[in-house]
Amino acid sequence: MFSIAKYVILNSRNIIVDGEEFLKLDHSLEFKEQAKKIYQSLEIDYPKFYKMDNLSKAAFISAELLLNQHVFNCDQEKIGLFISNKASSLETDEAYYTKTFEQDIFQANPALFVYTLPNIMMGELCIRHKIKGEQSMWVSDNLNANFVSKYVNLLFNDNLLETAVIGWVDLYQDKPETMLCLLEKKEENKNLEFNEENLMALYQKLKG
Amino acid sequence: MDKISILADNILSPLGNSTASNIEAMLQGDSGIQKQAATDLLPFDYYASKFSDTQIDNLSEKFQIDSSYSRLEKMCLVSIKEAMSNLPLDLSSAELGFIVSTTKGNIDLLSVNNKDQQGKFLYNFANNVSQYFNNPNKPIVISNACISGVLGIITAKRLLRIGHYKHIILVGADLISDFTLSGFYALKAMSSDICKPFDKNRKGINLGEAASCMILSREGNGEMPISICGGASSNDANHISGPSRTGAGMIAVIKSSFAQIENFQKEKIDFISAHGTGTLYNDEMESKAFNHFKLNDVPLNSFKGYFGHTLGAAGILESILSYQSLLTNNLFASRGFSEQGTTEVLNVLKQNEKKDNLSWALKTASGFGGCNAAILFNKLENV
Amino acid sequence: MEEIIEKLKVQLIDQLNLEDFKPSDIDADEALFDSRLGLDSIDALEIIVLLEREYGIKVLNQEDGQKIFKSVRSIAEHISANKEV
Repeated sequence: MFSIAKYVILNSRNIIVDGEEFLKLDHSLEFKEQAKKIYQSLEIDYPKFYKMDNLSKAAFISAELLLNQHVFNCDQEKIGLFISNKASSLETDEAYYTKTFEQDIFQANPALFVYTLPNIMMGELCIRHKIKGEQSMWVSDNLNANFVSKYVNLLFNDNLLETAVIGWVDLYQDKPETMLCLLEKKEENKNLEFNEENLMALYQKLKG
Repeated sequence: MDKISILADNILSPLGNSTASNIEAMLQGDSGIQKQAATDLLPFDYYASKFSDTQIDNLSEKFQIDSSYSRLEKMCLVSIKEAMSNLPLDLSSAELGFIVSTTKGNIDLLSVNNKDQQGKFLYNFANNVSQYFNNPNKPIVISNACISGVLGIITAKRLLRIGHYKHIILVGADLISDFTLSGFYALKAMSSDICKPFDKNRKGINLGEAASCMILSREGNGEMPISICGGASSNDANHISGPSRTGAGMIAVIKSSFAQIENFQKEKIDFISAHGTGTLYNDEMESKAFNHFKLNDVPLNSFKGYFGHTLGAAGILESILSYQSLLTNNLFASRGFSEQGTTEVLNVLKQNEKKDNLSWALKTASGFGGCNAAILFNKLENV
Repeated sequence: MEEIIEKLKVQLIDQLNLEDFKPSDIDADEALFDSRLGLDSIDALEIIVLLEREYGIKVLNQEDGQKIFKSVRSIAEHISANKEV
């Protein structure tokens, strides 16, 4: 059995870590500014953060809070990463489109273009946390908890993975919505079992 | 019951509307890649494999697909209908699921002034395709850069195995758009000529558009004596837009795929269908990964010289060609290759070759975000 | 020259999102790549975009880029030698 060892929820209102409010967010701020403030409060030195698009920043902050004290006790190849969202990379796609085609002269920015794929944020998390195992980026209007829980459990059962980070990371029209869970082999009863119901409950908490 | 069957497939590309017509064109040495002129929005010439203005519309008419569907949706619907032709399968069944592999979906809709269209959301694009057939399930959309197609096959196989669905329609597709062309141009990743994967003078990629479809089932009846084996994904955890210099992530997926097959020995591999984009770094990285397993002498090709890089369609399209190679004992030349151009020497196919009995093919893919995927196909004997 | 250097520092910080740095933090002679500034191949492409947009200068091949983009000073020297009048 696998369990949800820890979870982080981030939306425009606040950040919740394992059910406790970690931070209230000032929703009068643009997410870019909000993200910068949170990043600075984390007191880490990772200048690449500033180069990320807002979707990756939302993913990065959430993963930082999820994994800051955590040490993976397995091969990096056995750590999985599975993220779903609704808007893919549309926020950055639209920014890139405007910047490239709606100016007086044609000018395409390579650094912005790179972020016009939804799985780039997964690449950022993999680099930061040395996650090298199975991965997938799914796009759906709501979290498909039934499919996600079946798919990830299958990989656990096949011993292709020993642990995983899974969840929902969406950002559109400057509204961040993330829910990330750390999944581990169950040791004690105190943890939430990793199944469709519990995953859906956390997603609903995010949407709440 | 673990056996997964491929019931039918289709490749819809500028080279042809069926798997067979694409293969015929390839055997003649054709390529869909042509020089395309600059436009008002894109002030540069480029090489790409593009559908003619009428090809998709004519096919849509043939299949009576309403003109309200987007160009990409039409491509997917045509590809599925071509694959289905005589197959007695009820696509509206709840036991049948759709998996859609795409990187950018209806990206051409961004260029319309009204930016609030629903079709630009990837899940709406996929819903439009599955609901055309009155399928009650929400399609699974995989958008994992250039491994989306191979990951689609791996996902389909896994879901069929655990009985999540009885049958799966897997379709992969992407458009050539001003959006993607401008981006690869900005990255200086586009070849100024027809691409030359693994060649000494390779200068980058060509983009291509295509749709490709595989119909997979737990209840096959020997339609195609092919078994989908292994299959894994990984991340380099190294750089978001460049592949690992060592090939470590690619090595990991090949190793995992081998390990999933009982008593597998790498000596069994008859040929490799590489990702082979034609960029300096991708092809170099792949050569290091294949060298790691001492697969240097195994015949290898890249299909990008025929179709360009078809993004979300690529992994499915190239997998179909890989197992068709097994079924027909034909190896396709790696179009555009003439001179060794990677640190580790590989056996890149310069010509089409007829073989006695091909049995195992390895298919690889890698993409932005540091992702890699691999899968194997095995021809079943005495079926 | 010093004027171009100071202007260029501001432009690089903006173009490359070096939000942790102020112009005064960057030494005109320090290495831009494989250094504490942490620039990579995408940043090199962004500098090409910047030079074309702001100064009308095209850098066509990567080898030239590697030499020119060594430091803020080397870029400034290239600008003053090639700037469109």
